[in-house]
Amino acid sequence: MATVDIRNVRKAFDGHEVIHGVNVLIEDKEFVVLVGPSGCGKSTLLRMIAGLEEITSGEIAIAGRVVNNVRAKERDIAMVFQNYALYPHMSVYKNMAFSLRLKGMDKAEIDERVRNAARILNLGELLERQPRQLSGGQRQRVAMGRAIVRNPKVFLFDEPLSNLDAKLRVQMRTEIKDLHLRLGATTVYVTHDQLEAMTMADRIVVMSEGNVEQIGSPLSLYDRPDNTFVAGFLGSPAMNFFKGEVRRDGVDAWVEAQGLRLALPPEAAGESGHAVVYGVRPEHLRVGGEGAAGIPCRVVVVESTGAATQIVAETPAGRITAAFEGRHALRPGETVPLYARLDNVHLFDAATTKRIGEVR
Amino acid sequence: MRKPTSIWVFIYGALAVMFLYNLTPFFWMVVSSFKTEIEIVNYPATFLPEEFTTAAYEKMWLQEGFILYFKNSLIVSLSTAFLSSLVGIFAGYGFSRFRFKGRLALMTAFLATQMIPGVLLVGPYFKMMTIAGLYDTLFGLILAQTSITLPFSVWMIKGYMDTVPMEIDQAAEVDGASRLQTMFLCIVPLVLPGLVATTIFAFLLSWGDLLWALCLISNPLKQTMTLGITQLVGQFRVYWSEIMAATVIASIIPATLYLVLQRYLVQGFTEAAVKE
Repeated sequence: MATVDIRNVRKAFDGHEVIHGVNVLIEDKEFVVLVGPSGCGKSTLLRMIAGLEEITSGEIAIAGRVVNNVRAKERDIAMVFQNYALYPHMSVYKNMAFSLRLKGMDKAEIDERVRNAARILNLGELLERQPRQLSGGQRQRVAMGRAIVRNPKVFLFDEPLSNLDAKLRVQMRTEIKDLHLRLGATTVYVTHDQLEAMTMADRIVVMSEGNVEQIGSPLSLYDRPDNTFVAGFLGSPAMNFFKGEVRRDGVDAWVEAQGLRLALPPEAAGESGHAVVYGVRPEHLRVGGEGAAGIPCRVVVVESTGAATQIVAETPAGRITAAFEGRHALRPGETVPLYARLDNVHLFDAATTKRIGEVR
Repeated sequence: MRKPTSIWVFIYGALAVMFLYNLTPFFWMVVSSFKTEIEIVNYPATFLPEEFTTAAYEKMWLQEGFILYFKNSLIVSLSTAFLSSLVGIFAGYGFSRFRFKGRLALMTAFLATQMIPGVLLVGPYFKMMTIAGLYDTLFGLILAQTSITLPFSVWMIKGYMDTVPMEIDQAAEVDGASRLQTMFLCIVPLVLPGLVATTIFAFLLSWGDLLWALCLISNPLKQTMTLGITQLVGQFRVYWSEIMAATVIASIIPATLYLVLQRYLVQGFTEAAVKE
């Protein structure tokens, strides 16, 4: 059972704490993505799991064994680095065989393992090439091959796709996920790209400034973000936020925000006068609706990708983004009311930024 | 855009002048070594030998001790080059990879020793070597010369190692390599061109050294080439053709070294280390 148990882990550099007591339990065979903006501590956390960074306090256990004082090479993990970190003077074959040679494994077994990994990763033709003769995608595959041959308990990926172009990134994303399903190894994957996190993870750990903001399945985080940070970080285009106050009049509930009246479902939490942040995802806005007045908007930009249309519009409370499926006849300069789907609005406390009750 | 012809003429003209400036002494040394003892001191000097002779070479070779001097020089220079590169690898790796207290001070101290002219250190070294019982030994001379070449080697090797990304070390660590394995299997091969350049530098410095040999060696059996050549400058007579022949022989080693190792000097090993 290759679980990774991170218990109250802290990290300080020269007395300056950058990770403030993180707790995450990664289950056996799980694909967990650590996601967050640059400098949130996700890579440092990964490097602590790998044994490349000392743990200031707290514990990390891999497969039930506390590894705080265990060296990287004895942790039975494999890591894929952002810049591949292939050994440039060794052929693809030697790169993949390196760790096995160090272990003193016999040649026949090394050969079998390397060829097996090469087959899985479609590297068969490239085994004698030098890294400099490979494309970015191929290099990344060699880096993965180097990890696979060792048959480790845990795979660690440190932003492995950020050096690839957009198309290749999508392709490699699928390959890594597919590989995980085939090998069934516990995987910890670091990225700053929320789309990668959403599409690849069994569970996502959202981090910010050295803290875990929320842990959960991609859709649960998308549907029920715990705070404005998670709400704003996951989803593209990002969620629209309005600061305002809850108002109630009989069964009617709404948020008053800089002259806007933003509709709430009657069962929404929050006392009248409660200072809140009202959040609605771009894809949960629509043109036209019934009941309460919509958000009056003047369209500024219309972007169509063919499959979807995204608009940026000006409201009295600032700019908002809306996204619609298919094509839309809206034109810049046009004025339209946008309506939020009431079962998809989010309310957060303005002071604590935490989610308030159940809106939906 | 194509440069006008006049610029090309200037560039090639300047290169030709530099070429002549650098190679004329070498050329003079080679042709003079084939002149007779009389012709070499003739005035006006002859450009090419009128009477071609290898007498100077024969004399040098047969002269007592010359082969011994040659051997001593080789031992001292190879050992100095090896020692300063080996210590340089360890120190360079340490300075490049570890952040420890006093790192900068230590590096500066290393560099500072390079600023002091060697001649100022001769006295103290003489004293130290005498106390340690290393005066008049090749080992003492090797140690002294290594101390002169080492700071440069350390700085150069550190500089080359700085260009190798830390991720290579980390990948090796995760792959199960010890520090020594990481250094010798993963990092040294990547800085090989730099290492070769550094080693050649240390070798040449030691090969051409006269000062240290003069001060730390007195036994004729332990003398190096350079000391041997100075003996050809006598009180009443200078053996010009022998000096020229000896220096030609002495230049063969460094020239061969360059020829053999030049491919390492130009090889760009690190280009595919990581994605830029």
